[in-house]
Amino acid sequence: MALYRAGEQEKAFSALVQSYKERMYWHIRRFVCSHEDTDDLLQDTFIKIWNAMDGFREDSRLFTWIYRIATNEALNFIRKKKIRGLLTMEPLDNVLYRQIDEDVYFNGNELQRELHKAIQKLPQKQKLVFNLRYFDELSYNEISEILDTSPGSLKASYHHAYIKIKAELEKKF
Amino acid sequence: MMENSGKDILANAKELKQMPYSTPAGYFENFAVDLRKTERQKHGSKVCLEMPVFRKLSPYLAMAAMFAVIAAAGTALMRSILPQDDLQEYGSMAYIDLIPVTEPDALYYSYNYEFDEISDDDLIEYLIYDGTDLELFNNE
Repeated sequence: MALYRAGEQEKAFSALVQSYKERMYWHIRRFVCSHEDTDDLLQDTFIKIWNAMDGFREDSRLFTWIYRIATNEALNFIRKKKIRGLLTMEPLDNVLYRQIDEDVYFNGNELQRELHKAIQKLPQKQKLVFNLRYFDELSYNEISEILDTSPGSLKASYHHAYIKIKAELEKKF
Repeated sequence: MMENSGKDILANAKELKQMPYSTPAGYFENFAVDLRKTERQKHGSKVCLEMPVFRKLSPYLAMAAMFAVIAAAGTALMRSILPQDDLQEYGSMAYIDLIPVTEPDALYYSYNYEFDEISDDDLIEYLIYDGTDLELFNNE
């Protein structure tokens, strides 16, 4: 942001993209389960960030602001996909499971596959909290800044999500 | 607390924290360049800044059209399942319902006396036509 305020906007944006592209990629990928969709959403996220940088008031940290934009992009995408699923009569869960099973970039084992499928079964909020806490290892305070929810409520959401996923995995392994 | 349990699969299986996906070769290295291209395309094209209202509504219109088609198809199917004879039978059944149970032959009675009244002349004409012997008339 210092570079940006000093008028070096292109350099600032390049530095921002360099710092956050992988982190944001995996954050989005855990929601949409497809490289192509993730790529589109990631590009849209950074374009939105670029367009909104003038208005960034620095009352929150840059990384929580970026996470929030990426999260909203992913959630809007999932919402639209759900509506399209009503027309094709295929529930969103089935679409996402199929994408996980057929993903050509999948290089994990069965346990990892079942974990990602179990995550897709969670309600959106629990999924978000679980991903940010389990994979990104953010603190509850950091997640609270991103999601604008109290840390106490986040701890409860994470606990429920954790128990559900653990039970799913222990049924099979 | 739950993450420290000895039998906790989520805590113990270390590979679970890693993302089990690869990306296309050079994806992250070329991302910034691809992003510039996309940004130029989006800003270069002034035509589609706003999604037309119709495109926003089209998923809902498609849903409404689908339900209308299903309703029309269902109605047509019901009409084709019930043949016309059955419909006529409904009509005759309704008349049957009116016949008193104690007098089933009432079905054949006509209550329109004006039209059913036969004169003696009509009767004689019929009997002659039928070949009835004239002597039988006198006997009567």
